[in-house]
Amino acid sequence: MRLPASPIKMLKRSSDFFDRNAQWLFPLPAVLAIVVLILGPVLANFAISLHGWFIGRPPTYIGLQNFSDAFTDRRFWNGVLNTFYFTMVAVPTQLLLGLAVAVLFNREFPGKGFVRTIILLPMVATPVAIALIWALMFNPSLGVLNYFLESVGLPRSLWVADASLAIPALVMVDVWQWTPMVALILLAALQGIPGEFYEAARIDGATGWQAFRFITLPTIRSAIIVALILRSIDALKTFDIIYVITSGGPGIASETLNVFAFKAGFEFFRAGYAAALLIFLMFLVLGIAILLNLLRTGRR
Amino acid sequence: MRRVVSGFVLVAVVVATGLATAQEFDWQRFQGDDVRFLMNRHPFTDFLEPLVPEFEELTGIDVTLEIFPEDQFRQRRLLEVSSGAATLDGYMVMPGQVGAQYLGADWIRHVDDFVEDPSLTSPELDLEDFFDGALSTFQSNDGLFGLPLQIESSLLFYREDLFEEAGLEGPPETLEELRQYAEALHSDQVAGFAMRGRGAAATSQIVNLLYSFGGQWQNDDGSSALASEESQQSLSYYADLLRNYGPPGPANLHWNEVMSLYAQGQAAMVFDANVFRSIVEDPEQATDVVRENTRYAPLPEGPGGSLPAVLVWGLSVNQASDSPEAAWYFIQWALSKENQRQALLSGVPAARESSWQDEEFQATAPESWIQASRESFNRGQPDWNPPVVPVAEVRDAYGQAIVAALQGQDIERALDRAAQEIDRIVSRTQ
Repeated sequence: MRLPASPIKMLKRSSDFFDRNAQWLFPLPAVLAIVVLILGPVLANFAISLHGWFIGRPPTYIGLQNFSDAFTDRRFWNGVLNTFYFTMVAVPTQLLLGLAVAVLFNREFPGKGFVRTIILLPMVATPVAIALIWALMFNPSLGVLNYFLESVGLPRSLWVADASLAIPALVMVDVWQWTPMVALILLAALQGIPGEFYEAARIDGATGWQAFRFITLPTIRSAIIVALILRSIDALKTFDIIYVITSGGPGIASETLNVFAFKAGFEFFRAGYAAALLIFLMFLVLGIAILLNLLRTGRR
Repeated sequence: MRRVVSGFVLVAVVVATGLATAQEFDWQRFQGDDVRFLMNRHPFTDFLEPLVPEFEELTGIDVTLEIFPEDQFRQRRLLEVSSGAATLDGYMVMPGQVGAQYLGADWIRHVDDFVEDPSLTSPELDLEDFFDGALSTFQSNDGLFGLPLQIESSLLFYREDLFEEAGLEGPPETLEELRQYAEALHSDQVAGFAMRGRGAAATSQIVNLLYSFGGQWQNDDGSSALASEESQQSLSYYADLLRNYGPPGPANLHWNEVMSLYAQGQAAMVFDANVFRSIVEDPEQATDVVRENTRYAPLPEGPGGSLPAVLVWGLSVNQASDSPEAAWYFIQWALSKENQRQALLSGVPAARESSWQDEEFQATAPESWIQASRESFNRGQPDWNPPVVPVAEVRDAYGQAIVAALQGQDIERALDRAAQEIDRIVSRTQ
């Protein structure tokens, strides 16, 4: 009884093949996934943006018309402004609060594990579910927030029904939800600071603030910037909470670029224009991410 | 072999005679087929869903109802029909909303060939029985493209107890009276009047005022007529009413906010779809005092009359469906006389005359609701939406003017801007 030689040989040959080419065979599935799921749609988006396309009608090629239309569209600029407004209020607030929470959790106190779990909860809940609950709480007549305000003797607020309060109220939701993530990133960095640094500082007579200012902050600087980058990218393209709570309203008072693009595409069926708007948004996010990343790597 | 064949013949003969004596129509013809319908989360869907097993037993057709809240439902439906999904066999549709778009893109199957074929359409269907106004919304130049499941119109919901307290008698009959009533009923705790104000969502309600002030969607040349004198009057009447006698933050009111306010006793009068009687009568959603004291009245008369718009929902067969006949079976069954009667008994304003004439129904529904609804159907205007292809974007542009008016901005300027914007939007799809 002898085993036939050829299958074994074939197995061996193919295993050689895998050994030799492992460096590109292993990443192949990931590369394929990126090409199919990311690169493909992005390229398709560029192609669509060059067309006038009302969904349901055949698309016609119109060159850069969609882009020049956007520049004269009041609503486009409203969206850009609101996008920045939302991000520039939400992200710094989250960073400050997140830092405070991280510093707090870097110390020992009874019940710490329990409190930490509670604080992380908003982050793990589904954004749409959160948004629906907040929408109920914001209701000026039936919502629980106005009930709280009244029970401590404050006047009722219109919350998201007031054009000037809509974005601040949405920022509140975003801060509530994402501060825990910032805290988590910063806490990890804080725990990496050797205790000796603080001991040395104490011996040199540094105050608590000085230790924070000259030891803590510089050491976790790059973690802060990482949190800043991640949160800025997310905040610039926030969609779910805005769409569910206000749909960009009242009127267009809280309509960000992303929400406007969604409406243009899926409600108004202007696929070409929506694609162009999203290209603006993509470069906006990309530009800011690159800028912040320079901040991280530039001065070291 | 011969025995088997003769056995089949025997069975066939027995079945055939059985059918001939009972009913000519073969409900089992598409036994084993699957149909999938996309449905809006809507009182009709809530009514129909538990009955589906009856249909499955009657026909042997397996039915899946995919149900989503309205916004997601519409996006999902658009995605599926535009991708030509053959597994989607039918859907709920409102021709006044997407008719122009869906027919233009050939996403809806016309059903005249089914209706004419007695082996596909049950003799019990009786198309004549549907309200003319309801059926005609499902008729294009190419024929019938679905069946209406309900006809809706907006009504005034009002609290008789609060009226009595304020010394008011009967429902307001003119829009001017409505304003006076709202003023008399308004207080810090209870809004005198509430109605949708959330931009595009409010247009389907404010159109009732537009018509009743003598306004129209379009001029004869097809351009937007929203900058007209009548349109300005209707919008300023509306803004005055909501700003002075409405709940806080009217620009945020969608139908569910309006109805919750009313159901919780925080508004004395509201104007919205008559189908929301089901909310007002639901002990889980409405307080006892609201349930017991609610009365209904048709839209009060304006300078141009009382001209409410009617909304018609229905079921259509998807053009790309791989089993359109089975889908048509489902539609016939879902909208049969008996099911429409039951739907009406559960509070869905069915689209069949016979349902409304049913004695059991007349005994269960509030008289004022029946009366007000039928009056509205008789006076109904078909275009509750602008009759254009880009409906949503035009509604949004009008919605911007509505929000501006509610924020106290200049109404004439807001409407001028909306009309120009609408003409630009419409010209893009021509």
